[in-house]
Amino acid sequence: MSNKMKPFMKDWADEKLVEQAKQGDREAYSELVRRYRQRIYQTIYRFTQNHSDTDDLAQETFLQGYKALKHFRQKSGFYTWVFRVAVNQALNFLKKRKKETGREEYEENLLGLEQSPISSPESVSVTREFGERLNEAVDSLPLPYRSSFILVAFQGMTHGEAARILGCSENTVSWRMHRARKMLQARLRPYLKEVRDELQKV
Amino acid sequence: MNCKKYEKWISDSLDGALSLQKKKILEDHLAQCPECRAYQERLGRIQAEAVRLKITKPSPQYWNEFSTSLERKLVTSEPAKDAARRFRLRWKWTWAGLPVLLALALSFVFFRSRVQAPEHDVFWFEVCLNRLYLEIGDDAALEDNFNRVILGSLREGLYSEALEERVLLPEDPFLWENLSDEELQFVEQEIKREMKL
Repeated sequence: MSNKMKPFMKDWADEKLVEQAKQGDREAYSELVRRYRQRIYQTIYRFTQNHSDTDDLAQETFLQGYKALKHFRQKSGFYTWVFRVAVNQALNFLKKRKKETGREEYEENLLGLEQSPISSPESVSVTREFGERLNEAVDSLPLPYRSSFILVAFQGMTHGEAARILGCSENTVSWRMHRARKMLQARLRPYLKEVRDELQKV
Repeated sequence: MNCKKYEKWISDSLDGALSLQKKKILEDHLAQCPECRAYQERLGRIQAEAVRLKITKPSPQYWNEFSTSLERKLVTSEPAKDAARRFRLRWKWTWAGLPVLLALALSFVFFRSRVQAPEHDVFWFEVCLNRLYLEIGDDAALEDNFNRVILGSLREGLYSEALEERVLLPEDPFLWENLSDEELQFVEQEIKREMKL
């Protein structure tokens, strides 16, 4: 797809590419894909935590985007719109996976999130493992909190941008971020303490 | 100290979503609240780690394969799209033609009924009576029977209706037409008597 790209399209604004793509110009759509595939991929990966599912969902996102492009009224940017498609794809995937892994396990995760740390902090090298623990903790957040945290903390979006993608108010995103952080710090508290001690030693 | 409000503000400040005014209030609070300072420190570490955590970027080779695979899916999605569009287009013309067809059918039915319908309603009383008169023609026996049976029953009916609905019989032409001379004289006398002439 990228090797067939018309070079002048690289200078086109998203709006123009969208107009062209709406008229069936696949090369224009390919340019849009090329622009956002990396960020879409990273965002989906934050939800799925594996490359195989991320690959499928990213492809599905752009395919769905192409099919639904005629309904896109360009009230928001293409980036926001396609991001919304990606997040919806990822959330639907996680809901499906949650059903498959079973409600019981899911509830155990939620319960554990509020009550206990993941495992004994003594058994791991603190600074090296902290990132992994954070990933695990984020992975076990309830979906609304998790999606807000991924978009704002990982992807660096503002509350407004995340709200437009998630289809809620900025205030909701703000509260979800607050709740997500409270849950994360409760769960990661032992590691946070160790990280601080390590840093103090250094 | 109730620090719930400040905990929320700490979270907002990490996302750059806290107004300057609130930021100042928060700083004042943090200066005198060790719990909130510790909370801010923990959240700060989580935030720093979230920013630091990078996902391994897929290779250019991966993106080539990604593009090829996506291109194939886009192409295969199009014939179905075209077929669906053709199907919708065909039905669109059908729907557009439907009112015309309906109008034609209705006008056909209307004109046909106009041609077939008699000039007068077959159940119109006068028409029925005229047809009977035509049928009778010069046949004296038939006329006699008609006067006796049909008009008799009509008169009977009119009398009973008059009783029920209080119809003024003298306004009924059939009444006068079929009265004998004696009866007419009697009616005349009665009218004169009532009017005191």
